[in-house]
Amino acid sequence: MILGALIEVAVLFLVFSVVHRISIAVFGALGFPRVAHLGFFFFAAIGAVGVYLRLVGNPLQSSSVLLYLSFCIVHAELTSLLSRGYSLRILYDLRTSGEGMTLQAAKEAYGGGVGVRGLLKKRLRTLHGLGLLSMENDTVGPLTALGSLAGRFGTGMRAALRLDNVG
Amino acid sequence: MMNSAVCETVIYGALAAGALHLLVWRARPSNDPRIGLLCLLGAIGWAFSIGLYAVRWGGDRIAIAAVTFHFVFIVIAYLFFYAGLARSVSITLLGRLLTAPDKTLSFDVLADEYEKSDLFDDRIRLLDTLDLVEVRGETIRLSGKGRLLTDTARRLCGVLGGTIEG
Repeated sequence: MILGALIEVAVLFLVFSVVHRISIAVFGALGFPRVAHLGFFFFAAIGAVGVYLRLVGNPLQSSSVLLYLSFCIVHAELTSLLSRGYSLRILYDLRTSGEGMTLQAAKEAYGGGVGVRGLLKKRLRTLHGLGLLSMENDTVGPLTALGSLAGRFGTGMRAALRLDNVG
Repeated sequence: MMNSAVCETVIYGALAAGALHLLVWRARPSNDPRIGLLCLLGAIGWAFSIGLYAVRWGGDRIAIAAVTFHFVFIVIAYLFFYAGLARSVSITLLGRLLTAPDKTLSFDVLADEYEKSDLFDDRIRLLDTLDLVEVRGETIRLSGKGRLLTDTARRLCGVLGGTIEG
């Protein structure tokens, strides 16, 4: 039963990964990369339903859905870390430069030359796109109700865990 | 019956791990995100759940597997959340806007503040601590380990269909 559940989870996760990868290629080529991001949630949900239906009668049915979703979270975290990782991008810039850089040069070269300002602009655009804050011309803010809630929760948790040196 | 028992023990285990996490992080703050230690606390919570289940309902392989699957989900979901909490630039920006006098800031002010802060320097220090870069005087260089990680990440990015944007 345990092995059966593990095999179902592994197979459906593999299918999900392949389908998601194909959707990235297809929607990217069509000029709709955002659709591929939404597709992640869609395909992950379909996979979860698939695990549930294929394990009817197995006592690990609902637990296996959670295990499958764990794999999907790892996939999302890995993808996010690779594409949006701040530290990884610093390493990548150092790799492409081929030689050492000063701290100031590394700041300016960040993100292939967009610099730290480019990083901030990108993050602000994402936050704006998620409906967490308003942005008009050069003015950033105010936060929306959702943004305010997210900001308070995030900073509150950082304070509770004494995470002083953050991103 | 098993599902409610599993959920109950998993909740107790997660609470135990969460309490330990809070205690350790408050007692010993660190610049290092300490993901390994967090995983260890998760493992302690999992062992606590298994032990509790065995004491209250008797241990069987299916129940242990169910507790494990649930716990894996909780630990991975929390790690995903914690990674953002510990290092997210977006949360820093949201926090800064919360404290702005009229809740708005010009982009230049925000960017100047960020550039003058030591947040970038802190990343370099972290990368140095992890032996991914070598800092000699004013110069930062990629170490052999950093080069290996970057090349692996680049290949993996190609497999997953993305680019290293930062």
